[in-house]
Amino acid sequence: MNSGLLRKKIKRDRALYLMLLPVLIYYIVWHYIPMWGARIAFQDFKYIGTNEWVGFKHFKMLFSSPVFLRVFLNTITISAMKIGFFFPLPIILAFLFNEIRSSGYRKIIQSVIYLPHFLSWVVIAGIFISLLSSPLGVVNQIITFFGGEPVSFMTSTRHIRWIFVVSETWRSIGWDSILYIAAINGIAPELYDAATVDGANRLQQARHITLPSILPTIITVFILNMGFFMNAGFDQVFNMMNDAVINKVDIIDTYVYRVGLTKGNFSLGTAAGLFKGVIGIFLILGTDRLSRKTSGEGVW
Amino acid sequence: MDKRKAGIGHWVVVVTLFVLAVVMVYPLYNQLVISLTGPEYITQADGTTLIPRGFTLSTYTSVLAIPKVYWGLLNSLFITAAGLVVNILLTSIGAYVLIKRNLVGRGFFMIMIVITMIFEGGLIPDYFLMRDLHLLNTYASVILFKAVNPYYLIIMMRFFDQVPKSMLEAARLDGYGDVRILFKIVLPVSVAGIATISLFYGVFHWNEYFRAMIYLSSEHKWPLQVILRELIISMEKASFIGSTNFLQSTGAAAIEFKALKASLIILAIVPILLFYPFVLRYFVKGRLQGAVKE
Amino acid sequence: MKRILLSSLILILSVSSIFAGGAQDEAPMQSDDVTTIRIVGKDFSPSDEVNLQHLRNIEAGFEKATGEKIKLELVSVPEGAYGEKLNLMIMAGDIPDLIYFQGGDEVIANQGLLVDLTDYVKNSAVMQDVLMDFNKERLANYPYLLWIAPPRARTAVIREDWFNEAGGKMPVTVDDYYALFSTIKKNHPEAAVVTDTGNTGRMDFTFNQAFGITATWVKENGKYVYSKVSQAEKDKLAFYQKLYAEGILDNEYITTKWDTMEDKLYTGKVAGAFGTAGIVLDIYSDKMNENQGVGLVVLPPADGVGRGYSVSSAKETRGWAISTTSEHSDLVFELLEFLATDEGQFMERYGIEGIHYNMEGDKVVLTDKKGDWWPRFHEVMSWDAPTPLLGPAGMKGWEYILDYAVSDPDFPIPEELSPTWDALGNLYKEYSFKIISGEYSIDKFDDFVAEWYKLGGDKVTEYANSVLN
Repeated sequence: MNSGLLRKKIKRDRALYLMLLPVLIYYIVWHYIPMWGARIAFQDFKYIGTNEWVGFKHFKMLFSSPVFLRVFLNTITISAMKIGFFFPLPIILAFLFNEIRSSGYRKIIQSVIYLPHFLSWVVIAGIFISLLSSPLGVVNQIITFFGGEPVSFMTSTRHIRWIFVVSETWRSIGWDSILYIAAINGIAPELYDAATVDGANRLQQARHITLPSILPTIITVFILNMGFFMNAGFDQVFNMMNDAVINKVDIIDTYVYRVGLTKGNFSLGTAAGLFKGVIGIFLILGTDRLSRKTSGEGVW
Repeated sequence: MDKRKAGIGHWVVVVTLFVLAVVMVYPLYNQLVISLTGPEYITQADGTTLIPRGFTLSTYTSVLAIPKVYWGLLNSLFITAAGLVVNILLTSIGAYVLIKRNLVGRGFFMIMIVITMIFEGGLIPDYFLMRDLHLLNTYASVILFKAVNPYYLIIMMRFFDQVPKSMLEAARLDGYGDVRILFKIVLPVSVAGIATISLFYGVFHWNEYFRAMIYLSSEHKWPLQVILRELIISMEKASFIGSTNFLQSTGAAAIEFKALKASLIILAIVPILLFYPFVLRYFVKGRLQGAVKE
Repeated sequence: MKRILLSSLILILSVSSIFAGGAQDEAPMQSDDVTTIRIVGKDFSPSDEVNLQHLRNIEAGFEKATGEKIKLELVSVPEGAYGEKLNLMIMAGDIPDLIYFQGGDEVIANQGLLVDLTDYVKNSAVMQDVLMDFNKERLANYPYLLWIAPPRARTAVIREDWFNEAGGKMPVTVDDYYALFSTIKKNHPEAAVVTDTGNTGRMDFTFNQAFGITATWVKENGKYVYSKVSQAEKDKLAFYQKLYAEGILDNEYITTKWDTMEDKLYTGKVAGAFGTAGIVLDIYSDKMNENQGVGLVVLPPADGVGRGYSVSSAKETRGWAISTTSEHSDLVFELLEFLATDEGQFMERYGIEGIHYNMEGDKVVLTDKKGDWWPRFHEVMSWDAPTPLLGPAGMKGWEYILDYAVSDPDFPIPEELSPTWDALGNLYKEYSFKIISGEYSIDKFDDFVAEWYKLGGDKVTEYANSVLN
């Protein structure tokens, strides 16, 4: 595109740029200016006086920990498990909602399904610990009723990560489904009427109408969440971990919290944040490109 | 009117959703029950408690008797309302402009915005920014925190994308400028999207406490969540050192810590429970239908 | 549509008017002869009338004792974000004179922002009197934090009825403890005998010394070895393993928190627990009476190779510091001194007259609100309270502390070794639980030791030996 055409386009769209201005200003002031503060990842942080540049010292400290590899792998594993198992569930739930014809019933269910989202992890951890306690917790009582042996779930390295996935599911399946429900509601009913006339049953309608219609939304949510892949849920892990399973669930954020933040070492925390962020950006760009290549849709 | 027939599959769905709903509601019901349990029975109250023994409203009356709680409520309402106005306005404008695929620099803007979702300077640079802008201890600092959430912005873009091009064409031909198109065509048609985003932003403002605690030094500006958390913490300290009496400033009767925690959970959620059905009204199927005159 | 636009405009305008509301809280008024001392502490809010009253009492008492007029001012910091807000304040240059830290102080001290209290303390008769040995050692290692309070050793408590039922004999040796616990377990198989909170930290106070864990770093063959990799630790873990296997140690201790521990005690799911010696034991006692109708018996630490409660001398984990930017550090220290004197302690320990206590003639009579009060600055153990503040359980706990506190020469871990130390800690957590729960046999302990050294424990041990000798 030659510069003349470029200038013409910009001129044509000048109203749009003007409209966008407040938003851009917001991002520059509220995000990019403070982002410059993240340079303490490369400095020795001082409370007063100027920070001194130390290059990659904090990154080295982060990576050199004997457990860093494990912490890194835990973060990836837990995130991957959550994406693999939890991600589709709110979508499926939204589909199920779509099947309810009675708007009264639907409203009631919809009004309660998101409630656990508002409980803090402190509370939820307490609930799960109590539910899964051995031998008297509800789950174990059911197991023993059917003749099995009670299992100490919260201390089991085999189960603990699944417990994280399940508790996350319980907490967020309702809330996360709201977006998909709204998206499904935007589908013109004529499409369904036409399909019914053509003889398609519910399942086929779901596959050929509903799913493709909300696919852009699904892809968007998926790709955006890739950016948070390295987060893995600090609040949840912090509240639900215990000494027995710490080596399986210690994630980057809990490690940084212990070794950095509680000791006032902000540089370490910032360095870890940058590290996670870089990976997140790569994941977003990567999945976006993959998505464009395969389905034609990107995140925006 | 949905003319699809009900079959066995339909009932499976109904039952599944019912079970799910029960599982979701139960812990909150349990907390509600605990918050209504009398002091004589409170120690035994646990996750399986179904009925409030020694039924008493005293926990709630004691909490609601604290003036700070009312201030907190008003502050929260103000911050949420003002926040929503800013959020919806800016997010809609941003989404409207950025959805135009042939805008020069669009990709650049998008990446710039998505980066802010992942990277941040953190609490310390944010705090000093507020200080330098003279926004410390103002409501504005909290209202403008995360004013345009990139995640929600992109979702709004998705909703706007569904507006039929024909409508936009028609409006252009009628001589509508961009602002008018946005406010008179796009927004009314994307009501479900606005409702969804409003819910997200609204809940975000309602639950936000940490930044409010940090930016606002005047206690009378604190939103409800901050007040509630401070209550819990001082109660925890008092409980920890042995007192089951409530804070001195209330002159209230003895309250048990467990019941207090439960009541504060319920209090924090009730406003959302009231707000949500209101939002649900906009999740109406096929809103687009009828808007496009073919 | 127009209406909505109009109303939003109005809303935005009103919002912007709030921009103007950015006034900081008023600056302290300084009159010429009264010095203002700014204080920031946790649970010490200036909006609490009780706190303000207490400060006024202190001001009056201080003037009477020293003739100097001071004004004490509290800085408002939200509880939920105390550490963060404090950090931000200091970074922004707003540094109060007297600061309470609960972590995060080292970095600030390393920048020279906290006054080295060594000379102040050395020259203070009052301080020399009230500081206990471990306080002095901690100050020697890290002279920035002052924290006059009893050492936080946890003592064992058992419910009276089951204790008496099992013979009612005070256990002394580890074997005595085992005999007592087994009998209780036999009498009440559905309940556990003791529980802990997430790890065996509390229980260790009772049993460590008996097994030979006499300090954090113990001497084996002339060199210092980390106690958690010593033979003594192995013996102790074997003992815990037995307790766990027999259901004496609550099998859910690992997921138990302090409030669930108490719940278990008050609902009879557990026979005993461990609490900080002092008023906490009175609380447990009272609640136990309320819920189960029985009292608690306080048990001494077990006797064996050694006996007592190790009190680490590395550094205070929390405490009061004076900022080097303060213009009145001498005066601030005088204030701290005053608060440790009898007059100061009277106010600090009894609270506000008319609320927490009443004077009947010469006698102090505590009201039922006494439980609402706690010392804001110092809790001097050696102060002779005219009216006792502790109940029998609390007193017993203090008695044990005074009899059995054992000094533990420890040192703070340097920053470069922090990640390693953290990793070593996790290693211990994993192994100790697996051994105690029986998943690993006790022989795996040797594997643990080997891995511990390999993971970086050798470096830390080397450092320890250089510092401790």
